[in-house]
Order: sequence, then structure tokens, then C-alpha cells
Amino acid sequence: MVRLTVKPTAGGNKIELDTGLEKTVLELKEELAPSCSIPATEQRLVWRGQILKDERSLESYGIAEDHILHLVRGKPQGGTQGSSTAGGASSSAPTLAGSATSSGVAAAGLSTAAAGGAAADAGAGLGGGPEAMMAQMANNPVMQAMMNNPELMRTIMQAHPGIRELTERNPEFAQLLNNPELMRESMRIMSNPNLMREYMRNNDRAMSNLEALPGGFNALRQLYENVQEPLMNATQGMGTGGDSPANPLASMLAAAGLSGTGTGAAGSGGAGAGTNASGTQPLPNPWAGGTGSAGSGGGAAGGGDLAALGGLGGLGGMGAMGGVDSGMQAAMMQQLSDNPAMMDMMASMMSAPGVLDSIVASNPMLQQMMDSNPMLRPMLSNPDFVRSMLNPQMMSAAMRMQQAPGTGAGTGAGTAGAPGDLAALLSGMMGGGGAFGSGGGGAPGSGGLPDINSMMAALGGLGGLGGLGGLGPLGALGAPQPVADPETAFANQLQQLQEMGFFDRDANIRALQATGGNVNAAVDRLLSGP
Amino acid sequence: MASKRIMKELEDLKRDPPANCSAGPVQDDLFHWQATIMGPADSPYAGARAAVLDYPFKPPKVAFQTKVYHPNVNSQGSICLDILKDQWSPALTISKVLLSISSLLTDANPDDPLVPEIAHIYKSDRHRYEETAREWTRKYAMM
Repeated sequence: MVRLTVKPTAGGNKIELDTGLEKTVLELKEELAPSCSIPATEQRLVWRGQILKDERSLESYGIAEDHILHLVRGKPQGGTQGSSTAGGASSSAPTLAGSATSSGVAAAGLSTAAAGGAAADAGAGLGGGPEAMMAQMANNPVMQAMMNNPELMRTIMQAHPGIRELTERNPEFAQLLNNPELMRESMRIMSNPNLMREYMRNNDRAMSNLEALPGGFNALRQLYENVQEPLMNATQGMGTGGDSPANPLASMLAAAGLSGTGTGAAGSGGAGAGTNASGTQPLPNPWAGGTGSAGSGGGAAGGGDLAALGGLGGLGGMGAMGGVDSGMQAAMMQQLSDNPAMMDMMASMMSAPGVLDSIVASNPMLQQMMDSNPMLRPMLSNPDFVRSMLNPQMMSAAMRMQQAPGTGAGTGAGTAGAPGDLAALLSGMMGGGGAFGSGGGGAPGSGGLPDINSMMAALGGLGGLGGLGGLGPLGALGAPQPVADPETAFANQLQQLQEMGFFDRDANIRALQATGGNVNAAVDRLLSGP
Repeated sequence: MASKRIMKELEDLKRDPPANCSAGPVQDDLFHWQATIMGPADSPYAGARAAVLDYPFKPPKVAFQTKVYHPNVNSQGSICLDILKDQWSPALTISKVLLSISSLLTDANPDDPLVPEIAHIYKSDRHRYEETAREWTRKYAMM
């Protein structure tokens, strides 16, 4: 027998009792129950900083004569389950990102889809169905080769000033993009039509959850009034059916067995999205109408490569808005982010983990995706990260990004990402990703050499899907904008490195290129390198 | 030297632990401690880990393991507290550090925030701050 002292932290007197060390913690709690009037199931014993587990013996912890234990009243033991499930739910949010992908980035795309519950229906309206299209894309060997080549990804990234800026601000992002594993994983998920479909089907539930939040509906409505209507007006003026001489993407898609040929396919895809959206939407969904028409608008305005994107855009929810020109887009973004109600709502959503959780919890798909991509869990459950993605600077960086390749039609699908971005925010999932998705969108270069362009178009299309925002920038290569010479592009960083004592200019440039211009990461690389 | 001092502190903690903190080495590694800071009656807690490598000449490195919604604690669990940084004195003990942390938990210092967003909410909308903090506690830190 030994004598132990138990101190209830909620006040009350010390309890001294004689007990055997071979007893389990639970037995000790039962002995304590009468003297502290807390049922054993609600007692929590803390010793040396650890909470003692019921089934272990006192001995196994090393508890000995005269030791002092703290006693805290907790919830009844089974009751804790609620909170743990909640935790699970929240962590599944990142999943979402996983699916999309590469990093949050892509996440945007998918969440975008989520936001516009419309997206789901819109998708259904597309010729082959978006899932099929996704699958095609993902299974496309060219695509796969690209995804598997981190070097290429990096090149793409640093060729795109917008992305570079983003990565500079957010080194985590660069890390993500540098991880081919992650990219591949997301591709895999995307290429599974069942997963995709399931996911999309669940989105309108998430949407309705959002509406159920206090203020949620108002914010949605406001968004609709401020964004959707002007957008629709703009897109409607853009005529229908762009004509595309030798549209590489369209033909590629057609070859891949998608319905229709050339632009026609994409255009009608968009249109189909429109009708479907308004027809079958089970919930009042402010996005529905808009997405549809924007879809066709996108197809039209884009013409050529973009037409296909427009259709795909439907997938990305607002992605379809690709048709809108970049100026307009930026203005709209601005308007949105200047809207205090909007910001407020976002802020409150982001700071209340419960909201995210509930949204995610209503979407089993998210959890599933989560499981296949654990890396995203910490990312999303990190409020700082999410918040940083949401901050206005980030948003405006994303806007700038869209404008960068902004050669008229070029913005297409990319631009589309932006509203999707907001939509993503709205749906409370991984809004941050959206920003990147939009960046990706910037892709489909309008100018470009034809050869590269076809590749671009394919990738740009993915960008439009939003799933692969990160890839979008490939389009930038195709765009007329010259790829900056690394020496000039990284002039500042090079000088910094020089000042830090890294004199090998070539190595510096390589490191900067590999890290997208992030000096800290470059230093790490230089130091760890051979 | 260091381990002697740590042993002595451990003895003190055993004999007379502070009212709402409990701390001890992880397994038998004297240089890595775990601690539990217990809240008031509704029993949230915050788990922390401390590495006391150059103790007592350098402050222990303390970080929360549980997520804490607090202007002075970031999402990695780092704690912005002067005595853990430039105000460290070898005269301080682990137990005093824990007491300081637990008092920081009750009385945040929004004027020197680690997470400006939370500090802003703390100052502008105290009610919402407390709601969120409770929410986090419920979710991440209830026993």
C-alpha cells in the first residue's frame, strides 16, 4: 500500500488515499469517486503532465509513494467521441485539396466546383461528363509525363511571374508544387470518375449548409448580385460559338472520345451545362443559372483553345466564366474583396473551425479523399495557412496573376478560377487553393507557337478544370509574353545571395530557378546541395 | 549541472506541484518534459512539450501540442512570452514558466501578438474571441 495525494483542480480539498500500485487507473478513480463526488467516468487524472489512461496500472506509469496527482472533471468518457469525430471532419477538408491537388492549388478547382453546386449539374450537362473528361486528361500520357517531371513543373512555375510572386510570398506553396508525388496522387484521384462524380454530387449539400449559416445566404445573394449579374451581362455580349481554326485541344479531346468535334463540342458543353443547371438543381442555388451561361460564354469568347476550356470550365463551377476579359475580372474581384460583408463573412468562417467542419462533415467524399492524401490534412487544419491564403494581398496577387498572361482571350479558363476562388471560400473549403487555381487558369496562351500551344491548351484545359491550377501556368509559356531571362528575373534575389556570400552565380541561378525565386529556399538548397 | 538542477525541480514539483499545472519528464529523458495546464472548472487543458537542453542557462523551449486559439500562440504551438525569450533568467524554474504560461492563457497580451488576426478579434470583438477559443478548446483540448 502506498499513500497518494490527489488535488482537485476545480477547488476542494486534497484527497489522500492509500492504494495499491498494481491497481489500474480506473480502479483508482472508482476509489476516488465517493470522496470527490465526481463519477469515475468523468474523472481525469493527470500526473507529471500526462493524462492517465484508465486501463493502465499505476505502477506502469512509475507512480510511487507520496506522489501527487491532479484531478480534473472531464466529460463522461464516451462523450468525447463527438469532438473526435469533429476533428476528423475538419481534417478531411484538406482532402479536398488532395483531390485537386497539387497543392491546394488545384484544390481550388474542385472546391470551386463545390461552390457552384451548379458545377455538378453543369458537369453533367457536358458531353462526356466532366469526370470522363478529367479521366481522359489524367490518363493522357503527355499529361502524365508532365506531372512526373518536377523540373518541368518548376520551369513552368518560374516562367510565370504571377506564380513566382505567389511562391515567394508563400514558400509552403513552392514546396507543394515541387512534390511530384502529391501531383500524381491528385491526378490519380481525378482520373477516377466515380470519385469525381460522387464528389460533385455532394457539393450542393455543402452549399445548402452554407446557406443555413447565419448571414450565409445573404452573402451568397450579395455575391450573386455583385458578381454573377454583371458577369452574365458581359458574357452574353460575347457571342456564341467561337470559331477555331485548327483547335488543338478540341481535336485532342475529340480524339479522346469526347462528344462532338472541335469547338462545337466545347460550346455545346457549356450550353448543356446551362440548361441542366437550372433544370435539375435540387436546392435553390444562386450559382446555377450563371454558371451555365457563363459556360457557353466562356466557350465562345475563348474560341480556339479556349472553347474547350469553356466547356471544361463548367466543371470548375465558375470556371466557365473564362470568357470574361481580364479587366472585368479584376474589377469584379476587387469589388468582391472590397465588399465588407463578404470579407466579414469569410473572416468569420475562417476563424470558426466549426463552420468548415460542418461543411466538410456533410460531404463524405471529402473524407474519402482526405484519406488518400494525408499531407493536406495539416495544411488545411492550419488556420494560419488558410487565413494567409485569404488575405486581400493574396487575393490581389492572384488577380495580378490572371492579368499577367492577360492577352485578351488568354485569360480564359484561368480567370475563371477567380470567382471559383471565392466560391470556394464560400463553401468554406480550401479557399486558398482557389487563388492558385485562378493563377493556373491564366494559362491558355492565346499567342504562342502552335506546337507548344497544343500542349499548352491541354494543360490550360486542366487549369480550367481547376483541379490543376498549378499546371495552368504552362499556358503562360505559350502566351506571347517572353520568358524572362533568369538573371534579370531574379536580379534582386541574386544580389541578396551574393551578399550572403554565395558567389557561384550559376549555382545561385539554378537554386533560384528550382525554388521559384524564394531566397530562403534557395539558400537551403545551396547549403544542402553537393 | 543541468541534470542536477532538473532533478531538484522535479522533486519540488512532486512535493508541491502548482495548482493547475502538472509536469514531468517524458519517459526517463530528463531533458524532454511534457506538461498539462489545466483550465478552470469546465476543464479544458492545454498540453505542452518542453525541451530543456541548455537549461538553466537558456530558456526551455516550450510549445503547445494542442491547438490553442490565442493571440500569443501560433498554429505551430509556439508561445510568445518574454520569459521564454529575452527575459529568461536562470532563476526561473519550469514550474514558474508553466505558471506564467497558464496566466498568459487567461490574460492574453494582444499588444504584442504572435497572431495579429486573433489579437485584432480579441480587441475588437471580445465575445467572438471567447466563443472561438471555447470552440477550439472543446474540439482540440478537452479531456
